[in-house]
Amino acid sequence: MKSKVEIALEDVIMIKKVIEKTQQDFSRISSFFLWIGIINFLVFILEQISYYIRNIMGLLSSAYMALEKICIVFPIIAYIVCFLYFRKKIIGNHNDISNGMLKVWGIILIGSYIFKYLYIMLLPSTEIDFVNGLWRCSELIIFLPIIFGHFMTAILTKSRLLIIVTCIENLIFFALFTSMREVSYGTLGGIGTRVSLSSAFVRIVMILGMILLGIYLKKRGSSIHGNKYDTGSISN
Amino acid sequence: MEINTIPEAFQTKLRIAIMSALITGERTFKELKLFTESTDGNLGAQLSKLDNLGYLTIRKEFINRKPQTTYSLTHKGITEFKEYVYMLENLLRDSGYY
Repeated sequence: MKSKVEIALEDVIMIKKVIEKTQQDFSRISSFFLWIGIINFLVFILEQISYYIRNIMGLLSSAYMALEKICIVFPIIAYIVCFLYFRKKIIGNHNDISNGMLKVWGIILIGSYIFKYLYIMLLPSTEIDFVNGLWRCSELIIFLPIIFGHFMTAILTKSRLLIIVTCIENLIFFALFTSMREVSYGTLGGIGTRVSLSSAFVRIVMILGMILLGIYLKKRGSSIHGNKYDTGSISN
Repeated sequence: MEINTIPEAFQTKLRIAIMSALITGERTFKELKLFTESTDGNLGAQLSKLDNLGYLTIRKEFINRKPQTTYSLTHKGITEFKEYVYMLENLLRDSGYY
């Protein structure tokens, strides 16, 4: 027969384990990344529509100009709405890791987007190589904070896989950035435009990368809830 | 709280696990099931027991047209659970574990 002290010790260990599990639950924050991916996918579709209109109706058409403005404003509003919604959803859970992750990503996504917008506003619109180089640097304003965010997420979730993936992502981006190669973009209904390969890669990371990160965090949360802590006895 | 006067709520491991999961914030039924590794039936029974004892607040709503039940601890639940943990700590301290 177990003594009272042994039972008390078992209970204390179990309480600590359950609380620890609640702290490592990323299921709520995972949806945030899925939504960021969806928002960027919607921006991609809006961009394609705007290029289609430009190809059909010309650069000065009012529909194209309106859509171009929507493509700038929509992501920032969507990011803010998404951030506030998930902040409200997560704040009641006292999950420090998820809370920290949301704050870091909120600052990264909203801050870098506003900063990039202000940076572009300051650039003169000429075809000089130096100015083109400065235009290309605007990609770095978006991508470098994202790399930082991915590393922070990997550290907070103690995920080695995420660190490796982020390093590979980093290497691919800088290889593409320095290669200076371009691809056709927005070719629906016409010739569209040309964007750098690194810029196309940033779009892929913002859509597919974010969706995959969301799915990974959801799965990782489930695996942590598994038998790692041997909690089968709890339900007895 | 004394070892001989432990409330009914803390006399099974599953109920203690539920209280531990809820002490850090509100949880859905699905989340509680994952945290406690219990079956639907057992978890439902223990949750309704805790509810009857006045330890839980239950919120039912529809999310994406699906019903979702969210549980959180009442003031009484939080206070008594904290007292229970202090009692366990004192017992272990007196026995020389801490």
